[in-house]
Amino acid sequence: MDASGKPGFIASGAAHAALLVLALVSFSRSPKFEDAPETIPVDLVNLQDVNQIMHGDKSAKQVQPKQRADKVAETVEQKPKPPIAEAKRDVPTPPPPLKRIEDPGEADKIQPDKPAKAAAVPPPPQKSVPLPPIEDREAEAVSPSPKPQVSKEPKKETEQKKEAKKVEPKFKADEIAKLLADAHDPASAKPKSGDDTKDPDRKFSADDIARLLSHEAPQRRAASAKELQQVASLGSPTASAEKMSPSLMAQMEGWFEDHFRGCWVQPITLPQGQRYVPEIRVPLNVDGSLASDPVLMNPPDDPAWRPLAESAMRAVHECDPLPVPDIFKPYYDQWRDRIVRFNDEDM
Amino acid sequence: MLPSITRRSASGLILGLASGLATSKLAFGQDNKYFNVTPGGAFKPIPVAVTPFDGDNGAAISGIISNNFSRSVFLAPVDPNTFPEHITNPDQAPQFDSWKSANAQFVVTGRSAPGADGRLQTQFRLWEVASGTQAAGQQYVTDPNNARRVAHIISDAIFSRITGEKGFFDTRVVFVDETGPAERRRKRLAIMDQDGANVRYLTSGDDLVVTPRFSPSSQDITYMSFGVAEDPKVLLLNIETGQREIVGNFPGMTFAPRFSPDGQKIIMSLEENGISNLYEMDIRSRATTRLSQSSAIDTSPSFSPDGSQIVFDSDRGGSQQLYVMPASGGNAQRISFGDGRYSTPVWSPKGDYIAFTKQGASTFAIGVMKPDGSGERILTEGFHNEGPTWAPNGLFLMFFRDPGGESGPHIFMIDVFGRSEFQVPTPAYASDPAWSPLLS
Repeated sequence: MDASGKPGFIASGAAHAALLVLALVSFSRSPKFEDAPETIPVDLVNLQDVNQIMHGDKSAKQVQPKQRADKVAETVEQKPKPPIAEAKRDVPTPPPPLKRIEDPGEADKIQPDKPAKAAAVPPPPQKSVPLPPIEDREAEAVSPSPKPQVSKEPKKETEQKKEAKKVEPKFKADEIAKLLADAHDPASAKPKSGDDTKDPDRKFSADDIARLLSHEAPQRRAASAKELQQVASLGSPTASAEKMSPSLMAQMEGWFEDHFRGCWVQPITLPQGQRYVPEIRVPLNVDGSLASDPVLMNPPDDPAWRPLAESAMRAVHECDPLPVPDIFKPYYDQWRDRIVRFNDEDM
Repeated sequence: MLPSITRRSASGLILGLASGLATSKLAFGQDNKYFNVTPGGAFKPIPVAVTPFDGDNGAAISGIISNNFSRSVFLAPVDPNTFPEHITNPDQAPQFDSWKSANAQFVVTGRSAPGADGRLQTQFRLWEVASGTQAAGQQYVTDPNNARRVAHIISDAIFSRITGEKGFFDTRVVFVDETGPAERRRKRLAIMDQDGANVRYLTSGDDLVVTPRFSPSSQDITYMSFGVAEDPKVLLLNIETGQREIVGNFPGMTFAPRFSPDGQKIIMSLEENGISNLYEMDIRSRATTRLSQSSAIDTSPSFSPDGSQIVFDSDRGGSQQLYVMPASGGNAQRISFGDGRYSTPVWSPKGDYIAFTKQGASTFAIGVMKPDGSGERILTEGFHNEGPTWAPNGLFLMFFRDPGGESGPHIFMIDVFGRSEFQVPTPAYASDPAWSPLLS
């Protein structure tokens, strides 16, 4: 067999050879595998956990912020306290500006209420047949009783507020006094760094440090996430307290809704047109009684819906006080200030 | 290829997760803010304490009001034995706390006494216990003979203020007074207050009278009279003046005349050769228009309150059923499909329901359904209930019940939900009630 007689054979051989070379070259250049990306472990957190974290734990102990050991050591060292007598002298000065702010605010809140309530009691009877004298008489006769009620309670509030506010200036006064005392007492003044003249007798002693440190419990421990979460947060006063299981929550809501339903006498018929669902804010005490007057959050624009709004408001009053079962009382924060919707859609 | 998790993408993921949680927390928090109360509790009327009114006529007035509320279904007068205080000054607010413990949601105080001019002065105040405020208050001066009406007007004012619905106490009822033995009943047209008081007779009883109907707009009534050996006549009677006129002479028998909502027309059925069709007649011009063209018995027509439609009963489909058609005539739509025969349909003054009599195997029920035929509800059932008539506020019906035999019919009142039923006191047997519009 003559190869030259078969050009196809040559071409085929060359093509195969070329293909082989090309394959070798391309395989040798195959891309390296990328480094494995750095991964981060992610914990799955469900909604309730997040909610619980936000709300805190009512049973948690209040954690007083501690100063770090090194800082404590410093203050302990400078124990000498300013004479209290001097501080007292300075106490009265700070409050005036605060007091002035306090009063107008309170006055503004109370004063408009008074006439409004007094005026609201004797609404002029609608025009029907003659009706002249009743209005004035009514105004005289009826107004005295509610008035004191209106003015009494707010006064209590103001007193409470004043008391609450008084605390602040005291604290400030103490601080100022402390500062002043510090200024007076050379012994209590902070030594400036590098100022050796302040305490010429002071000598460095490793034992002193060891002694000081030994009193202090270690402030930081192993800092794993779990360790950091060891102390439950107290939560804010308006947040939920104890963890409530979904079933208990449903039970609690069902109980309240049933009770309001039982107190509710729905209007006989409802007007046509856009639906209206009265929403009433009901602040409750822990014993189930009304903490303050319920408030209709969305008065109807159309007076035809007024009977529904009024029936809802009457239901809230009718239910006062709610005999809240003991089982729900630990979860006071869950029901202390809810908005009750009276949805009459079934009618 | 799946995206690889790098530090950057992981932090992005965490951020996204956090914001997602934050929004869902918001949504969850919002749900947490509400209690959702839906209807479904047992029906309870609103307790209202009607204290005895001060003054010479006071006790009578407050007694009428209290009696009205006891039949109002939606309001319930508080038992006077549980009143926590005796109201000495009706102008002064009652002790709300003690009334709340007496379970009163509203307290009515008032006085009624003749003034210097001899006219009766009556005042009332409605106090809302929950809010501790006066909810309504009015004074009326009138002739002493109108004392009952003042009490009804006050009842209406209180009913409207509390329920948001129109009143119905200041109304009258025309009915057929029946005396004598069953085979020789004397039937007279009579009128009374809705509570059964103040009965007066409008006809002598010589002729047989049936189906009185009130004009919705005036103090006119229309009724049918069967004289001796005469065709039945449709008559128009003004109850203020006693003036009476024959509406028209028609060939054949006429049945079931009823006013249009504007009081200008009368609609009725005319019978000829065994078939009966609907006609309307203009009261002034006496022009008559035929509305239905059937070869069946169409009868008992009643206008919708806007005057645009007519409901009637007809046996055109084989059995007696209810149909609705345009007031000008035209195609009639059947609206009743239950078992039994439906008759005497009456459109509610509110337009939301049609009342009817439904005859089953051995019972006659009074029921209501929506104008499209849906929501059929039987209010009362038993032997021989018939002839429903609406209160002007569309919340109550009167009808009569005739047990048959030697006994005779009585008038009953029922609310549109069928919750309570009361017999209306009448001096003798009574049938065919027709409720007037509000007088004031």
